[in-house]
Amino acid sequence: MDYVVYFEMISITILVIIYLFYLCRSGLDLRRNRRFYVLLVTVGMVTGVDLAGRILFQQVGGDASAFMMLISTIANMGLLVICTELYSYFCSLSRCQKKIYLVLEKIYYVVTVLIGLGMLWNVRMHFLFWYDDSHVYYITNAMYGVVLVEILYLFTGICVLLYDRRVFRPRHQGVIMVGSALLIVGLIPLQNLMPTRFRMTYYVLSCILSIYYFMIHMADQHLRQRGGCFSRVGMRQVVEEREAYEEDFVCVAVNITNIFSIISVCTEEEMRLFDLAISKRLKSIGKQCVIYQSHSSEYVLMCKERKMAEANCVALRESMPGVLRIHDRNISVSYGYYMISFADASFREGSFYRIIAGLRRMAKNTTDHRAVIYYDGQVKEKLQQELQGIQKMNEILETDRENFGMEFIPIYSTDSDAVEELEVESYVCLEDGNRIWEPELWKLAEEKGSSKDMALHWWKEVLDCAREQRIWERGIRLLHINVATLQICSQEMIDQLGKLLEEREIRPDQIVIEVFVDQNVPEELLQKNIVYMQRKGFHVLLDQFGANICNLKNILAMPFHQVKINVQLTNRLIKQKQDELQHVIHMLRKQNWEIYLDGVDRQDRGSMLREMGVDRMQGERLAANISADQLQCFLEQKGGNVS
Amino acid sequence: MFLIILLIVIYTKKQLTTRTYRFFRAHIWLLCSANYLSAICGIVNANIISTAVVWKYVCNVADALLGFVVLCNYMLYLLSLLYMADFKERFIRIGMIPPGLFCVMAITSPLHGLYYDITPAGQIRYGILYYGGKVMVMVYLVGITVFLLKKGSQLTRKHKQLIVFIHVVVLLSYVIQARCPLDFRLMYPLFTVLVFLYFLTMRSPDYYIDHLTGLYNINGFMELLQERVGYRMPMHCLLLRINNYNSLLRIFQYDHLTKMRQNIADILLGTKARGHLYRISSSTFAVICDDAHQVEVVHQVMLEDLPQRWVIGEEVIAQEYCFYQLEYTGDETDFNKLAQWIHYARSDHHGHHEPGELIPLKYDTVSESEQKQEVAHLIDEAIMDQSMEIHMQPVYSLKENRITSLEVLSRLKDRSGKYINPEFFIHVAEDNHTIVQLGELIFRRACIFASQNHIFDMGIEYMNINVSPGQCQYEHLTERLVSIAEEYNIPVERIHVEITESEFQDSEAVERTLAKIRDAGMKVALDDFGTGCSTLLSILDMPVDYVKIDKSLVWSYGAGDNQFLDDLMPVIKAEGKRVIAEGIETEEHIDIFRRLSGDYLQGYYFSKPVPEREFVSFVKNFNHVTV
Repeated sequence: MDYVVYFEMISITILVIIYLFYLCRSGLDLRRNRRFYVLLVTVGMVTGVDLAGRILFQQVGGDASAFMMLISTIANMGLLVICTELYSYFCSLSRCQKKIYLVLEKIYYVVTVLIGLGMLWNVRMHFLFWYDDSHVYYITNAMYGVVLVEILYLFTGICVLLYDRRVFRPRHQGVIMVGSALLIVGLIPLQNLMPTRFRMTYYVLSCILSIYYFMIHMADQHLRQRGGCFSRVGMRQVVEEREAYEEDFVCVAVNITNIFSIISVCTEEEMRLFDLAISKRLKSIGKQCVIYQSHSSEYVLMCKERKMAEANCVALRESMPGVLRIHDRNISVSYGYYMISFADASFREGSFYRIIAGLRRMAKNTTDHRAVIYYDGQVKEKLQQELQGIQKMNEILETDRENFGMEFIPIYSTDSDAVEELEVESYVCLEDGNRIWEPELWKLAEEKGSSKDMALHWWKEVLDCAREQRIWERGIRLLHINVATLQICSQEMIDQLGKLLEEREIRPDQIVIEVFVDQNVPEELLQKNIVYMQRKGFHVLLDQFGANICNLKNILAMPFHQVKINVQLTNRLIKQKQDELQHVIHMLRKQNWEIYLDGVDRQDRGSMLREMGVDRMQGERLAANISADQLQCFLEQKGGNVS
Repeated sequence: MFLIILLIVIYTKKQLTTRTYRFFRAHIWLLCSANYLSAICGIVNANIISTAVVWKYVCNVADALLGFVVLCNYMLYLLSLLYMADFKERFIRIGMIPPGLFCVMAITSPLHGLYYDITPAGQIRYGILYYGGKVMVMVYLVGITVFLLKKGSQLTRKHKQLIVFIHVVVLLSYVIQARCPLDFRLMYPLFTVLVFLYFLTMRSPDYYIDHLTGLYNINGFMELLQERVGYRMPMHCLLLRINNYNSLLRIFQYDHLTKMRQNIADILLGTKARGHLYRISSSTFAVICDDAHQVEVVHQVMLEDLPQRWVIGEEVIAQEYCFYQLEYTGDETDFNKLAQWIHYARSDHHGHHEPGELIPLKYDTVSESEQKQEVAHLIDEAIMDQSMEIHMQPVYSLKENRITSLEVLSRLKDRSGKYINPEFFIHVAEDNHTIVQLGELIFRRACIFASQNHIFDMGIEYMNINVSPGQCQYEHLTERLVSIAEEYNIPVERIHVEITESEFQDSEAVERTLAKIRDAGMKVALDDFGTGCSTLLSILDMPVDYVKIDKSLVWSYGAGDNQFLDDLMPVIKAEGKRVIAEGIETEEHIDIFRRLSGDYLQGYYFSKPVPEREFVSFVKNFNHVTV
């Protein structure tokens, strides 16, 4: 038997194996994979036809010219189609968006069809090539034209490959692609023009396709997590391509909100089975979608259309199992869902991931495990606001310009009925004019991991403002600054605050640190730092008494000097329940604390509150907040002009 | 050709430095060589080209030797999948002896002709040892297959199926080759296709590579770790995590964060641990070091070289790092424990670490999760068996001067028979979202107890059952409780639900549920007031009927440490709530609450929490019930 037959049999075997693996495993939903699939099928079919032809030729024997003509026509047409497909394949690899190359792709298809028709007509008319009775191959000049067209396809393909070499990671992939294209360029004249035609073209092509598969496409198939879904790297590649082509898709995300608890109670093997079970269920629900595990706690179904996504959403909420049975154990699973389209992120990959990070956080914190969070309406506004807030904070930290907004709350003495102290509240002004106030601001800072830096920045601005306005020279005894417990969890921070004061010639006893006690910092540490602050000369006030989520007994035993009763508690009690308010005040007074009451509505309550034992009062309805611009005017009215 | 392509592909990609992978690579090399040698042998034996007899001998000996080497390497490869490819193992040394003997026989065959012989006509004639060698190969293949099926619990089903399939095909082809009259060399081409198949299915290097940085990924890290544990080889590892990476994702452009991570990878490559670097999550890198000292050295290098501010494009990315030290000393530590440590290091969590501190991952990091695992299992068992022990503590009414209610307390024992702290197992149940089933089980047991013992005929008016904030997130909680109570003919008005506030609850959901519970006819008590997460506002805002003063407040008041109750009690009473004081242990405590107009008392003065039978006899006795 002809030795080429053996080589082509091996080629077919390998191509069939690759094809089967490709089908069974499937690649990422990328153009290059789709193009590769077409190329694979084309080369396989053409090789198969060539192989069949060679085998049958042995049987047909003498009167084989017509048969050879037919087989050669199919083989030559096949090569032409392969060259066209290779050009498209190279375009998809490089994600080249230059119009000229896209237009060329369309032109090449048209030309291929025309030449193909010409080749079919050639079977009768012999104006390209033919075989004589001795089975010798002849060509006409027109055949040179066909070869030139095929070479042109490949050279344009090489130019496209070289358009953006960054798509090849590592670099040698690009070298191999270009090299293989040049090799095929060399094969074309050998196959089409030589009387003794090069007979190993398809074997070489199948080797080249194997290399492409191993180098590029198999990598995609291995971007799978243990559950069998594609990983976040795979998702990233798909999103990158969608960004390049500005194609929309809709993602439905399933977040496993208690994943860390599950991880802590399951072995690695159990986690593998867990992932497998979840993936299997997702695949059975989202049949027309591609599924990615975008995070250890999250799976994403990528759908082509919104309708499909919504249908999948409904199915997911109803079908995702609340309990999984693994190794004779029941593992409870709870979910959060959200949905977003790529168009929502204006086809920008960066924005898309940012929004997803925000939605993921919301889905994790949701308590309604059947609700789906859509990126619209209030959710969109909130996320955009948060994002703007965080970006603004970033700017603040990086630029050192004045960036915080401030408002001052007058605090009245119940003795003198005059404003003797000021509380400063900060906010950050967003581009859309909205404001983010403390404590939301501190929460965002904490999330970003920059509580301390933000606090330092804030303190600097406040103190600079206070010094410039000379508040203490204009009758203000104390300035109240709000701090979160994390901001004073180390003595080093307190020392830094002290240093800031020293630099501005402000005494610590002119400052009241208002601390909202929560469970972020251990009580012993907090107590120690309160004492430390007091030793430094600061006044330390327990803020929002009545709303502190902590041990009541312990909080009352902390060494504060002042306490401020929470505005909501005051509102509840001050009008109709003054006896209860009296008891609360009495309880606090026994600690020898100065008492501040927040939420007072009328100035004439001053004397009543004084009798109850309240030392200071403040409230929105008592006196409006003073902006930083209005502060000077307020102080002048209060303490006169200080020149 | 295809094997060469496979080899090129393998060598152009980064390869994992595990024994399994090394054996696999060696296998491909050997097969490649064996294929060519087999072809040459076939040509030489078939006299297609004329060669001297000595070259025939050399070719055939080389062919035989290479065949046995392929066999031995393949066996070692399969054993390495179970982490047993250690030459120190006796059975491996013994297993190498037969192929070794056959090799010697093949080399010395010209002397004795038992392996093969070349006739004067230049034809090769195979002797009894040749066929013996084939039988030995088949025995080894069958043996290893059986061994893997029995002992290969770490192999997946797919892996086992593939290995069995490959071995069956190989054995069949041996039979076909043996029966074929020609010198039909089928084996090596067949091996080629099978290796190709195996590579496509299992062994691609891409699976272990992080495509972002070119380092190895978590799959590679875990595989290496498993190998180290399997062979009890020590491992020292430095883990570096970018703190709060999830927050950074929301702020900075994804491309810039990608670039930052690539830059970090480049810096790590410049450290002494070159070639042993892994990126095991979006924000975590691992460096495998030779010893603990090198871990410290690399840590210092990172502290010096890793910037905390990256200027990429127009963005300045400021962040901190967390450093962890993972040490495996080659002892009996379970792989799962190490995996738990790694998961801990990979995740963002609140901590009060000093910047740049190297934190050793130790047992106490994991022991809590081991405990949780154990308790979660016990809870699952209890729910499955519907068996839960409950104890009751009586509640005394100051007005009625008798025991008028009881608090139901759940009890869970560990494997050694000791009781587990209820707060802990409730916390575990909430974490694992089994709290709803657990809560229902406790409620059901309480109803069964009440029904079977007719406790409401003993002067008991109410039964207090704890409900956690986690349960309150369940929208059908009230309906379920009502339904269970009805099952045992317990009027819902006899049920009081006790709830403790939690910082992390969804307060709106809790309030909605409590309101529903009250609408259904049950009463609600706010538990642990004064400690935990209770606030003064809760008394005013939450839909509760009772407030339970925590024992610590009672004791501190009784000891004269404070007088908070003098003011708190009137506030609570003025809000129309009734007061239950916990921790009553002395007469003095009783007097205090009589003076403060408390309503109910609970504590060791009356009785500690006791099992059902004891409680029934206690109540009968205390309330003078004659039944």
